[in-house]
Amino acid sequence: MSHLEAKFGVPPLTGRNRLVITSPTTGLAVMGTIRSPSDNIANASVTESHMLYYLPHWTNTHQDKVFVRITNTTGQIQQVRGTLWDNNGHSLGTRNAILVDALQPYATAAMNMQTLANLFSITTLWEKQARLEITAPTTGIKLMNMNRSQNSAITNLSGATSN
Amino acid sequence: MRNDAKGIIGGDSGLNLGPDAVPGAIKFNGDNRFGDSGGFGSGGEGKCGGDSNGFGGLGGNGGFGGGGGYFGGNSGFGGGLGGDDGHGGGAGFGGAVFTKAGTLTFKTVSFVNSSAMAGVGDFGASQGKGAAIFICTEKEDDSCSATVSKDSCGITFNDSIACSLQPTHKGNVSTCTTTRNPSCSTTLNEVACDYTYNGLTACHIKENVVFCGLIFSGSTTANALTTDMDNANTFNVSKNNLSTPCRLGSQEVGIYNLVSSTNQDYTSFAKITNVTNRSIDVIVKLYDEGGQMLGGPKSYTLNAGQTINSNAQDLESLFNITPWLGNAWLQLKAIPNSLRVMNLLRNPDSTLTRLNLSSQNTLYNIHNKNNAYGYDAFLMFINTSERTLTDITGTLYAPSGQVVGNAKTLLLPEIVPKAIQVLTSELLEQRVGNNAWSGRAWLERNPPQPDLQLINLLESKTGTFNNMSAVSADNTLTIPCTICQVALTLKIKPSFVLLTLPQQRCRYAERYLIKQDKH
Repeated sequence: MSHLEAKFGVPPLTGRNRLVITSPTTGLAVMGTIRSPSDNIANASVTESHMLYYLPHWTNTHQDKVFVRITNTTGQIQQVRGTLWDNNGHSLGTRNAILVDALQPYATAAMNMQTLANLFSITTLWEKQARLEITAPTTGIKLMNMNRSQNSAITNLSGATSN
Repeated sequence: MRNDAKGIIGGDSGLNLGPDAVPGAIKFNGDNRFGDSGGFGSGGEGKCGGDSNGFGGLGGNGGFGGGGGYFGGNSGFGGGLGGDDGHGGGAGFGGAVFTKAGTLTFKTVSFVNSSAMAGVGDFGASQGKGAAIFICTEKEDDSCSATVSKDSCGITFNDSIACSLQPTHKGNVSTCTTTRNPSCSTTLNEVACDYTYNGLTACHIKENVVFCGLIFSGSTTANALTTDMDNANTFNVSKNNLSTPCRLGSQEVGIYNLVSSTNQDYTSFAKITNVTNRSIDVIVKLYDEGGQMLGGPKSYTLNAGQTINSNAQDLESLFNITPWLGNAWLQLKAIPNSLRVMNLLRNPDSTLTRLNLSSQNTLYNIHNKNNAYGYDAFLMFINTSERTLTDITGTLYAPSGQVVGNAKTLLLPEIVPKAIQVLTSELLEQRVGNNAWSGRAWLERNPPQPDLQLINLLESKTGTFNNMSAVSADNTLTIPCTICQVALTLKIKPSFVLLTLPQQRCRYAERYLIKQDKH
């Protein structure tokens, strides 16, 4: 990280940051990885643009701690709305709920499952894993589905495969 | 009796049924005899002429779709009238699909340039009906009971022609009057792309059937798809009998790392979501590492937005099989872009990892066998096709951009259909013919093969598997901790500039590996 700080001439970074390769625009393959204390190495390169698929409630059996990260990749302030779905395809709580009222340009909002439940006005635990669909805006949003396991290893659960 | 060669119902050459396969096609050459009425699809004919002194018998009536016989035999539905000195042509029904019984459901099916061509008779005009599809109901004939399901959707017609022919009797030139179907468009946002049905092979349908993702192109009554005809040479397609040339699915996706229920250390899950707003049919097949199908094909319906999580026990129950050895992989087929699947693994240390995402031509971040962290790299090669893939070659590049060993090295001589083969980093080093590389190498397949999926799995010392195959889709990375260890590698032609790793200053070390593609 210190190399990045030196490159950009900034003091030590705080919070989470996002790196955008601005040039060249083609011919690069970019990969980010995270090494946890257990030496587990995770691939943190993949994001989603519309949906996240692995959102267990906060008292899940394995004590996974799941976080949602929503990044505004545009230069405009965005109001982010979404709908949470259960495994049967039924919506949980309020549909099209406001998740972030004014997400600043290039800013990221992170939320755990309890926060997410509050945003959707959900009072009861859902079964298995819920699915988050971003209903607005339809473009310019990047999503990450991060999980911290019981042994503190972080893994990236974003990235479902389409047929 | 005889079958009118052109006016036979619906057309049958796709099945190669031959004229005698049509029910009621009774051979009856009628010297001095009266013709009987034709059966279903047969034209009535009493042979005219007879012996030199005799007089031909009366023509029979045409069966359904058949033309009338000589001397005024009545025609069947759509067939041409018979006359005193000639017979009528048979009708042409259903350029692409003719259905006599059962319920058909069409989902995402295109009919292009279909035509129902009436037969040419000597007397009496015959008709072509149902340029693309002809559904025979009780209104047309007592023996018919076909219907189309209300669940049908996504059907398109382009330039279909129902052609009625005038008789050629007395030297008249036949004319063809055409009626084009109105232009229909899909009602749902679907794309017909799965299978082109050009008359080479067709299906014989006796049961209720869902057609999904098919394209009927250039079908005529001579090479169409005919249903509900008993014949030993036919095959059936139904939702419970999927091993036929007619593929009901339209776009497939794989889940490649599934351990069985006997594995005490790992638990794998197949997480499958229908992301559409309506129910869809999903066809699944399970293969072992050797490419053998486990159990038979299965199908199930996923409701709108529904997700199912299947562990090994669920799969063993679904396919009615005993636990498999090693890895298995699941192939899923459904209408395009309807599914999102995840391959999750609960590791011995309770870490949950996602193992789906594969590549067709490149794998990055390949650790050597002597890496400082004790990681073990496993490169998976999955042949998703029905044919054996041979001469799997690749070029391995060191972080410096230099080729490790020999370029375009033979990695695997062959992979049989549906099989998985694995190269460890040690085997990879043996293949490329060089000592271990330092740092992280990357592998480029040349040439890429669409039927070959590649996955780079990395096992840590604690036995946790992670998928290293995916790279950022848009050249951006999220850095999820405050002060981290970063390696930044920029490949600048013709070589890399390697920035030294700083000391770790936080819980999580992070690494950014930026590689420039060769091209």
